Amino acid sequence: MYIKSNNIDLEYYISLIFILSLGLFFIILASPNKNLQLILVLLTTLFYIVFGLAHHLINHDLNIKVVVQYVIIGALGVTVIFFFLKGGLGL
Amino acid sequence: MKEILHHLFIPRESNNYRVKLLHQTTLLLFIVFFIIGGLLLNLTKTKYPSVLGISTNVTSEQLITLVNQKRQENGLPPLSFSPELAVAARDKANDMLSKNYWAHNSPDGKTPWEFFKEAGYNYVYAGENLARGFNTSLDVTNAWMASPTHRANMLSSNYSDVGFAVVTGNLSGEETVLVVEEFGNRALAALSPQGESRSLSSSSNNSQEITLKKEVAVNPNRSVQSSLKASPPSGVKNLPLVDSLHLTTNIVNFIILMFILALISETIILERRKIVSFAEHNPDHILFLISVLLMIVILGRGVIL
Repeated sequence: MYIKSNNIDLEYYISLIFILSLGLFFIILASPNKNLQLILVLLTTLFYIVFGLAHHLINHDLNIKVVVQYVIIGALGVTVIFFFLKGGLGL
Repeated sequence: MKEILHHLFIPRESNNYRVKLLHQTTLLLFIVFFIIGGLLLNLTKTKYPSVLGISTNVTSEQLITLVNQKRQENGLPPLSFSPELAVAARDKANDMLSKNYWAHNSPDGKTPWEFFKEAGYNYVYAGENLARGFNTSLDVTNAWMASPTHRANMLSSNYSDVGFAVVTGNLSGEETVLVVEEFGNRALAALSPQGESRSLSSSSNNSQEITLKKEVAVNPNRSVQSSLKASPPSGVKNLPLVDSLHLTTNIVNFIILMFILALISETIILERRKIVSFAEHNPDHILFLISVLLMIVILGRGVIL
């Protein structure tokens, strides 16, 4: 089950940071349009999931558990934003 | 207690080398918590606004004190409160709410300076700063001071008067506190009675300043007195028992930081033991959760124009 791996894909993480930063940049640009910002939050999350899964697909280590993990963490992020907008700002 | 914390944060045999906090069932529970919690808080806010709501304290008295304090710090004379400019600011704020726009000029092309004239303020110099979504007067002033163009308006020696409007309303589907700050100087307008020359200078989209060499176009059709009587309240004070913004921000920060801590702890421990399981993907999730925290900061902050 457990495999030793020291492979740190620096390029992948740099690309991921770039994608997430780009998402944040566009969310700032969309301010104060909350609807557009919410769409951008969803798009950024979608990119994070797709990019992560594509990376695992290329590395030939993509399986259903990995897919579920990315989807659940992505969903957690989106529901956190929902909680803040709905409960905090009252949108 | 120590055992529970270990089970939650330390990967070991009892949790199958996956910290309990990151198990799928735990994550799903948190997802359900955030959905139901968000809806419940929203319902409570609507039904009991005195118990739960956004704590807001923005008043024109505080704003003028803060603006003059900043001017004093920069060796400038204080601005006088102008009831006419307060009316112009109120009319501008109401126009933005009724026509649903967030800009210096209205969608039908009406400029801020027309509100000045309608309020009976004949200016030589005029300027406008806008803000929305801030909860205290200090936050508004600090945001304006942090922007070069707004700061230039606040610290301009061309102005002698200032007027504010602080109103709440629905802008683009969002219930928000809108602050309009109008600057002016009419000293020279009374001295030179003819000809008009305008130069609109806008160093960015965020602020505009207009200079008139001369214009005396008194507004004969408008009763300034009646307008002044209808002047709006000078501020918005809403102090519910619990501030929903602070409450949700603290909950979100605490839970997300807990997840980040669990991911880091799992990554470090499994790396030290030379065991790689799901921890291989943890840096991805840590980066994503950090960006979620930043999104919260961006979404919760006020905006100036």
